[in-house]
Amino acid sequence: MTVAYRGVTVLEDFSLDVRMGEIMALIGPSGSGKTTALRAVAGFVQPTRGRIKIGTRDVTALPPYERGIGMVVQNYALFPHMKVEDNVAFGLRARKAPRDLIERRIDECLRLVGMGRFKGRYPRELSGGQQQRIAVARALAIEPRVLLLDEPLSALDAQIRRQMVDEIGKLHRDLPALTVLYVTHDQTEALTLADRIAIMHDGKLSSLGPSQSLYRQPPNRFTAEFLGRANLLPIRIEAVDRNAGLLDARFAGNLLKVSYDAKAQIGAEHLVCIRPHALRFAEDGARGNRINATVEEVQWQGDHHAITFNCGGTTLRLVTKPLRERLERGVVVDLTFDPDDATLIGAGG
Amino acid sequence: MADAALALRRPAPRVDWFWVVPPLTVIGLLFFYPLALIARQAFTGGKTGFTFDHFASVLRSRQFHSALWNTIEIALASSGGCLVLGFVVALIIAFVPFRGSRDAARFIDTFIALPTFLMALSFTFIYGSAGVLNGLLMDITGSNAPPVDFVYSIWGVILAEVTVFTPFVLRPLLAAFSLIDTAQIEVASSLGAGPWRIVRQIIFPAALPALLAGGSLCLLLTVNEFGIILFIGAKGVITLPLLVYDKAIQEGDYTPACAIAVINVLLSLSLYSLYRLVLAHFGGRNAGMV
Amino acid sequence: MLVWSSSGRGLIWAFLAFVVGLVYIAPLAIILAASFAGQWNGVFPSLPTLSHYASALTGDSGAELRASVITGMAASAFALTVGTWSALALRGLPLVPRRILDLAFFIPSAVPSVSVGLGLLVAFSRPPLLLNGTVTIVIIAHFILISAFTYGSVSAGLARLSPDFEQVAESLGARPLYRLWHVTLPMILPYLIAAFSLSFALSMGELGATVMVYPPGWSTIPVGIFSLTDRGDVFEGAAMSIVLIIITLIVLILLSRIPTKVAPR
Repeated sequence: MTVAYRGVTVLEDFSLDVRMGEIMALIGPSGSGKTTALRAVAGFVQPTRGRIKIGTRDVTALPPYERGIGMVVQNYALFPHMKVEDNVAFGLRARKAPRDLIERRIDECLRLVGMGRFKGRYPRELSGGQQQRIAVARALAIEPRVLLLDEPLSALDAQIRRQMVDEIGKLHRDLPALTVLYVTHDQTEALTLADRIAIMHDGKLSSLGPSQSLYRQPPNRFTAEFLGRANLLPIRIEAVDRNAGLLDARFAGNLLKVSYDAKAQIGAEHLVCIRPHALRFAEDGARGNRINATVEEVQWQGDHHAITFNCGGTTLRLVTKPLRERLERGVVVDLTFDPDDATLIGAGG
Repeated sequence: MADAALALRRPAPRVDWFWVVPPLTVIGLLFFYPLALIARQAFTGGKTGFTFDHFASVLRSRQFHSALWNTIEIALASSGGCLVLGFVVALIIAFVPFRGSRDAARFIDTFIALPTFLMALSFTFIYGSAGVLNGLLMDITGSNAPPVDFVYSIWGVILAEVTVFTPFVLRPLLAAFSLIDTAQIEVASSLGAGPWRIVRQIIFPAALPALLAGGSLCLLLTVNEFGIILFIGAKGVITLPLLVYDKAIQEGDYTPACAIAVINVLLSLSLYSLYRLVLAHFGGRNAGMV
Repeated sequence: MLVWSSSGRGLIWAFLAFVVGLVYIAPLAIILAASFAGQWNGVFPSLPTLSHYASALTGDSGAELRASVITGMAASAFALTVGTWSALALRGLPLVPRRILDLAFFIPSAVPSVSVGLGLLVAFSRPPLLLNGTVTIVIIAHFILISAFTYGSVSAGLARLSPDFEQVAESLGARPLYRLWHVTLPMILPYLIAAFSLSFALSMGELGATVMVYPPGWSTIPVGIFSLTDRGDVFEGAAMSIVLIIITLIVLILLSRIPTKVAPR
């Protein structure tokens, strides 16, 4: 679908196929269109072109209250003038469900999110995390087929956030038929929870795939840099060995072996992406890739050391267990990595 | 998933227009229609034929000139007084704060809800010929004639209006002052600026939008004011609204009343436009009511 | 923080107290004193009496009291309904029509009240809509003058209501009217109450349009106060003024006690 407001295209030719029962994370920088996409699925934004289907049903022309979706937003939006149980019951009451069904669902959903004790309280008596759990219970009460989460944890403290990520994961396991579309700008949430991740950039879909594949083998430069930190080495292909599954790549004077990629051609210039934790110090005498680099900056960050190197003008970042000995600036060391950990990225990104 | 190139539109817009119609009809019938009839009466005198004659005779009358002049004079003087008094009081409440300064502000605020003529009534008690001030002065000086009688003149009206309409300047000013970063003032003080300089160069510019908005609002309200003029009942102090009342109710002369009302309404609407322009220009951070 | 010396501050506070006292407190106190006064020659009143209050609450003045309260309640209720309806209806409109209609709803308060009264006289003195000389025309006059304030107050409240609440309600299955009744209106209840309170206070004090249109037998308190003071009964006028203030205060306090369960923003 395409969404445009007053001449500004917010989403362009955006197509996404979310499988039933999966958690799909939509991530991207602000302005990438991820929230617009979510709201279009919810029905608050009308696409100027395209259709939206939930299951086999085309819902594009349907108002939000007929689509069978549940929505959880960043600031919870619990109705302050209603008790917790009335909040959870709201959707069912609006659809005129029978009273005993409502009572049953309230208890079920509150139990699902672990908030059964708070039935009779008012939202203002609850903490942020508790309110968000009620918001989730409220959305689940109407048994939606799709659950839409719009940056649900952004308003919470870091510690509560970690807890809630676990709880959402557990919820997903308890409700295997529920499809979840999760918009966030926090990669950790996405990497932890999502089955598949869709990365958005400037209103377009940049890449889509299972979280691990996207992380280990990013298909383009934006994905490499957005999902985790990346070292991007400019290289030139010198040899291609398809049988061994290796490429010979020249980087700043070093000849490296990286894993084979079909789009590699001899003489072509590409970028190779290596994650900081895939770089390590080379042992003396060991064979394999060697990069000769100069230490620029050493930062201790508690549970790891982050070291920045310079090699022929390119900055490399390495993350390692805390070093026993001090490493001085200006020292020249050899770095190594496994060919499998290096992914070729088209120079265009 | 077929990607048909359809431009889909929300079905809502027509329904939204529908809901606007009833309240608009009510206001139209009860306000705009009568206003139009006033204009019609002013231009036709109840007979057929559009003419400016009624306006001409009104504009020629001395009564009208005096009323118009009084209205403008009172409006300007009262608004000026409101600005000065409001600025001084707001300055003190905001920048020389004392315990209960917020309550003082709220107390003055409640006067907005009180009828304006009450102030005029109390003035006759205080400043009237049989009032407290005169009684005091007569006791002190031993004279027989009441020395202070400004209340039964244009000054009484102006004083009453300043009292009543200052809250309309005070409120936006206090709101604007609360937005001034006190750190600015503290730094200025530490750099050696005395209080007057700070007021002139830091506070006053920040207060300007609120002053302009409050001032134009006061102009509007004083031009429209009726109760105070009626209660003070000073001879020769007639304003446009009072003239309309006299003509229509006391003399039963509807056509000139309508003509004067048209002029009065035009004056008010221009001042209201001025007020809205000021608000729009500076952004609506002023707590204006209308 | 502007003035650093404590003597300077003391001076300024004294000045403020003098100004506020002279300009605001003294007048109220004087009217209060006058309402109890049997006689006032010289500086202080004498012969305290409750007779003014007695006459203020009975007979003609008592009838005016009833008329004022009924008019205030009716006009405010009408204004709140129309104001809320307008504010809700204008929310869904595109920008330019909304600005124009917004103006249309505010203009009635920009116009002198006497002209409003005159207009109603001129418009409704003839059949088919003969309202001249009825109670209705007084209520209508008050309604016109206060409708802008209810509209403004409710609009402000709606503007501060986060759209999330209504959108989540919609996603849960609530149709427009259900949402309006169960979510929107309860959440702007503080603004509705404030709007009604302000309207009532303004109606109680309204004079300019009322003197133009009121039928005999339905004069309001302000009109009554004017008649009294005009013919010299200033003390009874003062008593009526105090009664006016007290009744307005009582209604406002009662309204503020309505539980809203929504923290006013």
